[in-house]
Amino acid sequence: MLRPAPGIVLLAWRNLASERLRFAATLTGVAFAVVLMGAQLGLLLAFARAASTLIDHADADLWVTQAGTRSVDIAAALDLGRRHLALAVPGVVAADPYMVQFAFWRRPDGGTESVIITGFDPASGRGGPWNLIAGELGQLLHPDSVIVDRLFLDKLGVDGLGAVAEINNRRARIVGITSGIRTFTQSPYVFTTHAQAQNYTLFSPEQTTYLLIKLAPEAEREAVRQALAARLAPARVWTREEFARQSQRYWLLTTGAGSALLLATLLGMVVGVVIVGQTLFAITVDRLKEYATWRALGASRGELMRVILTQALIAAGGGYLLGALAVLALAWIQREATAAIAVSPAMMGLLFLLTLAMCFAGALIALGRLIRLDVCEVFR
Amino acid sequence: MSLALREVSLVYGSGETAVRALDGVSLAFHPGELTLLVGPSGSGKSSLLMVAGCLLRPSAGEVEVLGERVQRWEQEALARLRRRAFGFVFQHYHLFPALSAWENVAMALWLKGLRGEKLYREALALLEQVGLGDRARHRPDELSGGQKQRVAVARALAGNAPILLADEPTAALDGATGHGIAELLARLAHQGRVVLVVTHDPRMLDVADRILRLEDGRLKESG
Repeated sequence: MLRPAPGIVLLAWRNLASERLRFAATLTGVAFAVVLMGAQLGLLLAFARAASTLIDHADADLWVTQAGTRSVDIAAALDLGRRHLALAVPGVVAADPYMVQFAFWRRPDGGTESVIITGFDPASGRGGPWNLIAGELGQLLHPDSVIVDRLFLDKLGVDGLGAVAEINNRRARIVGITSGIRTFTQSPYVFTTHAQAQNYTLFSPEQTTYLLIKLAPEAEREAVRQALAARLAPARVWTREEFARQSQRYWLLTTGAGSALLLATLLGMVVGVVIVGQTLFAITVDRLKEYATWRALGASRGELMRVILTQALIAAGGGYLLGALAVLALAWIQREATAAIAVSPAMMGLLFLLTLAMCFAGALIALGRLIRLDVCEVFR
Repeated sequence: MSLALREVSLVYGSGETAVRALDGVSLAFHPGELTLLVGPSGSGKSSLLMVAGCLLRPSAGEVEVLGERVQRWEQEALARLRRRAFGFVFQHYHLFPALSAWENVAMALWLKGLRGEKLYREALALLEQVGLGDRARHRPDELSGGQKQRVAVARALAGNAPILLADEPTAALDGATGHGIAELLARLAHQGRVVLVVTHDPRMLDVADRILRLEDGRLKESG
């Protein structure tokens, strides 16, 4: 039977579908642009997550840092004596020392890698490793014990539990392996006890880099933060979210890494705009007489423009579907890589909005031609 | 009176390059009449059709459509007027190639506000009226020239437009086919429409109720 569904959508769809090769090329182009944009956004998201992963997983309500600290990975020494001052503030139930410090890892084969020593209080476990897939956390209580992530085993030149290397010329034995703990800097996190971390980094027993504050359930966070800031000055007290955002900002913006990824995203968008623009313009120019006829029959400019915009929408929807599937596949393939492509519903939503914007921008040239359409062209 | 032009002039361009396409043309068209507009190339026939069809605003004079003087209306208002008052047929059909015959007609009905089952039935009825009920699902490239022109006529009739304007509707058609379209236009006129046809085709002379001759933008004679 005939399908009684004429209107803007039918006309837009048939205009595209009747030019199969051109339409296929457009969908491929849009999908390619979506993959380009999606991969860059996915890298950006993964880097952002990695930049704050210690903070996000530390189960601390507040972070006490030395003044001037700009990223969780780059910390200055903090007097451990301040821990008692912090514990004296009403509402604080724990103030655990936490050490984050770059160090040199000497591989068994003699090579050297940069690592980030992450020392936590084994009594509370706050700031310790997560996603442990081999070994036990309790093994860290043995001297010289460390936990590393399996993503970096090759980089560290070790093959698993029991392997021995050196950190700043001190022995380190792997007693546990985690899965999926990435870093922004690509210098792996090496988890150990706070005391062992002091040894590895040559910090004195009175020094740490952070205090992880846990509050009583009934405590008012902002009030406690202000009280801590007043008591611990010039040390700075951050909420967990503030410090996470600061760490992300530091790595993504001040290092230029984020700008580079955003620029690549923009380039992907430009590719899509050009492809969609070229197709829609060509299809529109091919149909100018028909559009002029439709205008003669009484179609408004708005109705003609809606045909073009609907074509852009169809190209965006189809291209996004293909491209998004490719992005998900890419993220799956990259799941074992140290530089992952992360995906989230919000990121995929943003990607769709960018795809829409890209296709509508591509439609502008065709719209411009249609706006200038002279209805009298049907007589020429 | 459905359509009338009073002292209509149309000038393209300005200054020394100005071209006067119509010069003080006055005409009235009556329902039930098929009027032919003839004249040499460049005489202003198409310009007159465009002004009469509210596709162009005249430089001077009045255009009256269904009792309203519309010569100063804005473009979008004229588009709305064309939607309810006019149907157009062109020499080269200008059917959407990706749409079937039925869909081409249905799109015009959609413009006139029809939807759903009513639109479906009306589009099919229009195609049957022009003898193409059995070609409804064919696309333009699957139709002959005459059949395409019949689809264009059916599209022009969408919404029961009271005024039908045609520009060389038989020029691209062979003898019998052209004659068939001429008879169809005459039949539609005699059903109570204003039908104005610009043509060079002598086959149209047999079916005309009135013939107007235009030269250098001026009406020379009528018969």
